[in-house]
Amino acid sequence: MQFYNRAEPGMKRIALTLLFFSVFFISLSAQTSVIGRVQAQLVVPVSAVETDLLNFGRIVVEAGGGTIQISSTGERVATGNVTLADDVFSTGKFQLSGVPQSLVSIVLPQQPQKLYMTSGNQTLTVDNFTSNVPDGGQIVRQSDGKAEIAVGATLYIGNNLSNPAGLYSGTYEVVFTYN
Amino acid sequence: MKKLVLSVVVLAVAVFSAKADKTADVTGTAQLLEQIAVSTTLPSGNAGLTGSVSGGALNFGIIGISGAVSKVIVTPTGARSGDGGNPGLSNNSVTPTAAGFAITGGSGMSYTVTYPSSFELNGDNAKKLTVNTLTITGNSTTRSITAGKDAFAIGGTLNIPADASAGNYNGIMTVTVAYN
Repeated sequence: MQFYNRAEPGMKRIALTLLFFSVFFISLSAQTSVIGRVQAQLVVPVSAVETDLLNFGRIVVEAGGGTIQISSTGERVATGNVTLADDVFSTGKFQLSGVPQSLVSIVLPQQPQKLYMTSGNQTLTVDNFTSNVPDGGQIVRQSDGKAEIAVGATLYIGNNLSNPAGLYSGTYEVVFTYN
Repeated sequence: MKKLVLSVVVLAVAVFSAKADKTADVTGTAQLLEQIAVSTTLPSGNAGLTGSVSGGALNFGIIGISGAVSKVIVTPTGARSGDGGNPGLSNNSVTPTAAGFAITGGSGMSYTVTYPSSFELNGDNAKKLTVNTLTITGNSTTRSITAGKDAFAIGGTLNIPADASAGNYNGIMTVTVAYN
């Protein structure tokens, strides 16, 4: 009987200790969550259409050959033994479509491109492509998501034996990418 | 004799009861610790968070599809950049933001932020995009509460596949805070 009574306070102490720890544990494990929203909008890739041919014009070739340079700002200069027959020529022009206010960069041909005579086997070489795209990229207009790009290049003409009179044509590849 | 012993026992219990009261006091102190709470409503001034931060909204903004595998990264200050693949980045009409969160809780308490390592955004075109590599203000998920408050922002990386389709993509992320 006496032994039983002595044990009782000890048991109570254990119970209180447990209570203490359990309450404290609940406080420590307190956590809460919230939902965050995440959004993205994907829009059209950049695209381009050619609106004007890169046209070196009509050229009279003489014995020595020469070059015709068209700048992206629209000037044409002949060097060597060639004569410009008239004032008809054009820079290559492209209209870009993309995300308004985005920046688009251009990759021009890094290798000489060939123009092939339509009624023969002769070729002309076009090289040194340039464009009016600024170093940091061309900004696509906010108003309509478009931008105009001009491309120039230099035409290399041999003498009148290697490049007889005729129409020469070819293609070149221009790659537009978002910056 | 028997009576005397019982009295002693009663006294002893009384003493322990007094101790129990003290113990209860200590327990009461523990309860003074405020529950930690997290909210997507930022106090004025964005709770001191710098940059482009919106309450609970991580927004990658408008992105032009490049046709190549690409990533768009938004930092906890809301700064956006592309990582490979030339995604088209435009601030037109939608400003990218990091997701800001405001915390209230016990001053001086340390807590841990938990967020998913990866989750998906669902497009209105039935396509999905994955967001991963989430980042948090200060680059640490262990933070502390000062003067009952704290705030942090979360950024992440949007992964765009080569065959991505145009559309609006939305998703959710569960952010949990817990005392350490």
